[in-house]
Amino acid sequence: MDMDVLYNVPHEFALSSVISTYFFLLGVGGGCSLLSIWATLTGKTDYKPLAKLGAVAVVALFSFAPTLLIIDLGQPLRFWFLMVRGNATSPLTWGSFFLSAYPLFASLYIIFLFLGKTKIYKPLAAALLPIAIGYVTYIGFIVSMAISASAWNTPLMPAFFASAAMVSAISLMTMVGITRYWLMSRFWDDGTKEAQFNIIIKLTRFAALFLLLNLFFIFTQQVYMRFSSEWAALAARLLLEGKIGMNFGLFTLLLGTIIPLLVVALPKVNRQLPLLFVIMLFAEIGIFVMRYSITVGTQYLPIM
Amino acid sequence: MSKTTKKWGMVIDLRKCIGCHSCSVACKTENEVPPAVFRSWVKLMDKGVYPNARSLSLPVLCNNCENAVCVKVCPVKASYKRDDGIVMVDPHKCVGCKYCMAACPYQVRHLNPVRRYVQKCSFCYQRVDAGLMPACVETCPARARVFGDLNDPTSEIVKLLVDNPTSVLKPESGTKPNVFYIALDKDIIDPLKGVDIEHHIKHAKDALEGVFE
Repeated sequence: MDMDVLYNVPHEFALSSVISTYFFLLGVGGGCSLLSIWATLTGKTDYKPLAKLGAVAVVALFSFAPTLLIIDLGQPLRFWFLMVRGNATSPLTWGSFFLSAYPLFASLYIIFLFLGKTKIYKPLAAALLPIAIGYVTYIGFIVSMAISASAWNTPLMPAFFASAAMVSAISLMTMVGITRYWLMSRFWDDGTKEAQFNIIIKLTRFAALFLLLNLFFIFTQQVYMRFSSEWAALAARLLLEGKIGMNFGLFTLLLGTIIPLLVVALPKVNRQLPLLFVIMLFAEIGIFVMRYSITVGTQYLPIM
Repeated sequence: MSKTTKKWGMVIDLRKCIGCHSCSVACKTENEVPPAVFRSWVKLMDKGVYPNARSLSLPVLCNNCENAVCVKVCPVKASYKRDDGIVMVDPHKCVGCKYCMAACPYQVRHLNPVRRYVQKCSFCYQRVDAGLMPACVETCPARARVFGDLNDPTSEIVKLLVDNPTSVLKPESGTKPNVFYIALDKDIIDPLKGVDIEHHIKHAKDALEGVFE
């Protein structure tokens, strides 16, 4: 039957590209701290530089990411309301708690890590662990609890966003690790060189593990959305068709997931540092596009 | 309905609505709603082909839900519910994070482009508290809108609810709206009907360009 909407009111996007960039940076920072904590808690001395690199990345990202959140507020000067007026049912309040607790614990952890005080920074790492987990998952809850869009309102989101955070963090750490190897290896003895090289290889395998998990989440989300409602099925189409879909398909699925997985799976190729650097860059870009496509892209569908 | 406290609600009889937008204009005037944003509007749709054609209208406003998701997700408790059921936004507390806008399944909230905090229909609480009807109810030439106390068994709104089958928007959201519609056509409430969905997918074409420029 012929139907035409003659008049309706369009609405501005509630979640902007600034917020999707914030989600991305927050994920990278949280993932780096999880990686640093993991490296610390495993206790292997080989991983110490990794723990320190992760800690530096956390400081750099944490100093910048919340600025984006504040810029996006309609009332930026009231940002501190988020810290002092809580609402237990709001994931933004959970985020405010994590954003407040995180720098406190993280800075203590980082200071003692660089001072080499094992007895202090290890318990601090253990205390920071749940905060860092909350830090990477709360953005998933933000999206998941926005019931206006079926593309967001799925129980998958917190785990999906956390897994994406780990991919972006490991990719960043690998790229930093490779750069460090290129710059510093001439000063290292053969033993250190090999140990550092092996850490880079291990990181890429670790990245591959989370990339596989990400692929599983993308597949599950597509299946869930296509079989839940007409609107959700359309949102699933939007993620794979049109320009949003083209970017998601090209940058997130092909370049950001499938090619890195193939490279890591190939025996000799997976030890070529320049190639590993490139695929990790692709994976990083893929996660950025994924964050944008899911949070901003799906708002192109009408809700009312 | 045995409670003594008031619980405000609205019934919109779509058999009477003529889609004249008087309600939108009255709302804008009463609440000083800035250009480009609306607290209340009327979605219009044509259905069928002449001679078997119909014009449909759907007045949309905040449903002042019983189980308001905007209240639950507001991180600073700027969105709150009054005892009489009206969902309010405290302009002095709102930080403009727009999370309530993302959460609301009815898209009835907007960020005031001038004052930069979120606003929405509050059943013209300033008028209701003074014993008047909301501006949209007062102005409706077809008397399609009936506003009243859902807890008062003698009120006109309760009589309408008892005598007529009514529907609410998106009941699957679990928000329990307090705005009820009589003779609601399923096609006009479907956001995918009557619009070129392919255009929406194509419209998203330019979305990523700004990001990568």
